[in-house]
Amino acid sequence: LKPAEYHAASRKLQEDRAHQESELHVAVLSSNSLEFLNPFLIVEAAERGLFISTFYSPYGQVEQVLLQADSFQVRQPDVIVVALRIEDQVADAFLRSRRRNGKSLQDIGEQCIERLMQCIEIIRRTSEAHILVANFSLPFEENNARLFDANYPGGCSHTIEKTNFDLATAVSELSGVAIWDYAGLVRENGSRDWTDQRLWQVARQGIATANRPQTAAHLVSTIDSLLKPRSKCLVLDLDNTLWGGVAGDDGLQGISLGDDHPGLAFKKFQRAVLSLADQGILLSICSKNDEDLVRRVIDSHPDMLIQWDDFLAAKVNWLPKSENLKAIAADLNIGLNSLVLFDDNPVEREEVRINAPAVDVIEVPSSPIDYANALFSSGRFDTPSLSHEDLQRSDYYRTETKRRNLGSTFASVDDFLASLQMTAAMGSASNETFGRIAHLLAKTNQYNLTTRRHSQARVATMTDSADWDVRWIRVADRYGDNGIVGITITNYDGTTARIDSLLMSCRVMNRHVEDAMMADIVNRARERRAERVIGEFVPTERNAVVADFYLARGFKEVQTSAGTGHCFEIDIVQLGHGIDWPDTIAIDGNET
Amino acid sequence: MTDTGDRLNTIFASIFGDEASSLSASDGITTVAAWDSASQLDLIMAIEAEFEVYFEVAELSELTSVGAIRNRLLQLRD
Repeated sequence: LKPAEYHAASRKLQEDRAHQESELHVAVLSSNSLEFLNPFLIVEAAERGLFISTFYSPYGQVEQVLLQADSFQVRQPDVIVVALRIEDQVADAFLRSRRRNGKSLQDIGEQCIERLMQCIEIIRRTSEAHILVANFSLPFEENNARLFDANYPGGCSHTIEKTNFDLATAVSELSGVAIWDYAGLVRENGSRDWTDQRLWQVARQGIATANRPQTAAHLVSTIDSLLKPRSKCLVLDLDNTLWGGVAGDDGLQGISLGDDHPGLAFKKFQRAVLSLADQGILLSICSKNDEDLVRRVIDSHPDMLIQWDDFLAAKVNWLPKSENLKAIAADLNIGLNSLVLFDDNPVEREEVRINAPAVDVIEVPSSPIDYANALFSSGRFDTPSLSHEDLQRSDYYRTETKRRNLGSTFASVDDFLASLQMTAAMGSASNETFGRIAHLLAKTNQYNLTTRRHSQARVATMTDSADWDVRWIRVADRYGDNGIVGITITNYDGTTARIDSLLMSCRVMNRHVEDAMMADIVNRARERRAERVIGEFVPTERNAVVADFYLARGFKEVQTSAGTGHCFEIDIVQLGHGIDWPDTIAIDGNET
Repeated sequence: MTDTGDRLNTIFASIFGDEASSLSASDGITTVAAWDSASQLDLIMAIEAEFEVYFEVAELSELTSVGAIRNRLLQLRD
């Protein structure tokens, strides 16, 4: 679309969906009005399946809007974008960065960060929305030392980088807050023509018309990545994807893979794939091929960077790819919608789109030179922060496969569980664990009693409240550390403890981890002199596996008007004791 | 000029809506509801991109009628 066409497209979108309800409310608060971006944001959001309604602060009035209770809070934004520019704070901050008197550029940058932190604090008094704060860009026109600015450690370009570094450090300590990389956006598109000086002088519009589509796409992608769970597994084709040519026809010597054209593009793509594996993305193969042949290529080609063991699942056969993808999802015990397919063959991509529509299919460019860029710009692997669990994920899944193989050789389940030498630690939510807790709340579908998607900020609020008890469980065994795999959230009201959320990663299903969590809830309820514990089951399409969870643990179903699902109750006074911690799990440490 | 007229009408319709797809020379910021000082700039930028011309800063707020825009485009393309 040309910039002018966004106006018409956005009008049409707004007319068409006048009756639709499911909207994402986005508030943009900025030191310079960004309202002119509106048609671009609406169209780019719709491109990604997001139907947004927008609100913009009048120019410069960030705090005023935040503090005007009725105008802002009533809208209850889901996402709040705060964008300050250093040159709006002090008009000559860059141009006179070397003046002898007054504030230096660095001081002004620090002031901007302080102001952003204050805004976040004000927002958090009433809102648990996702917050994005824009980082800072050096305006091309205001870099007066052009050629040698980079010579001065205190010059504009280094100072702005330092300020952005400090902002990232401050933001990394906050829950539910991420950076919108405005500086990166300007850099990618070129700062020279970023601002049209005519539009700036006449109407205070800081982004030239030609740059508005990219700006909107960048912001919406950032929002999309915040909201959507990150894809877990990249499924790769082999011939003409990981190497050039067809292994079956061209043989080990004949395929293109190496340090010169045309093999270099494929080697570079393999590096890109491995960089995702480093960030916790699982790799799998789905190829119509002969398995022995491709194993020989992967094991013995000197330029093959990805090794056979890097693939968590490999489906090398002649079945339809849609079926193989379903099998991969089942093998790894993850949802089909966590898979991303990268396959050079448009026919295969189409087959998967039709027969396994939940799979994300990347549109692969015709030239392998563009593969790496297509992989990264799909946005499916972007995430604002990487947790310890993300980085270890491949190892977890690999050891899980070993565990399952071991399972088949034991006489009884308890024999098998004992052989795992499981240990578990439990603890209450804290700054270090909010991220992982929010992640599990957002992504757990099967072993989840109520599927309440509390945000990270909401978890933080609950943790601060005496009425709530947010607990995690971390499980390790002889094969390694599984990390935090289960969450319970209990609400106390008088003598009633109500289990708001209880969920667990399917990775540790059937290992009594759920019994350990239940024991923890009941024992803590007894300590707090509660008389009854109430559990809920809210059925969804995915969680039938836990329908009898409470009945199997001595709870009785009760009729109640409160809550949205089935309620179960256990009288812990009558019970007279706590619930036993499972024998097959040793308690690790004294974190309680 | 018919070609120019059609291209201009397409731009008017994108920026101001379908009711602005056949404006007369005397139409402008005072007669078209959606044509205001903000959409004026969107309009001029769209015309610059479509006709590969450049308007001076003073012109941005002066070219506020269909006739004025057409005349200026003719001048620029001579």
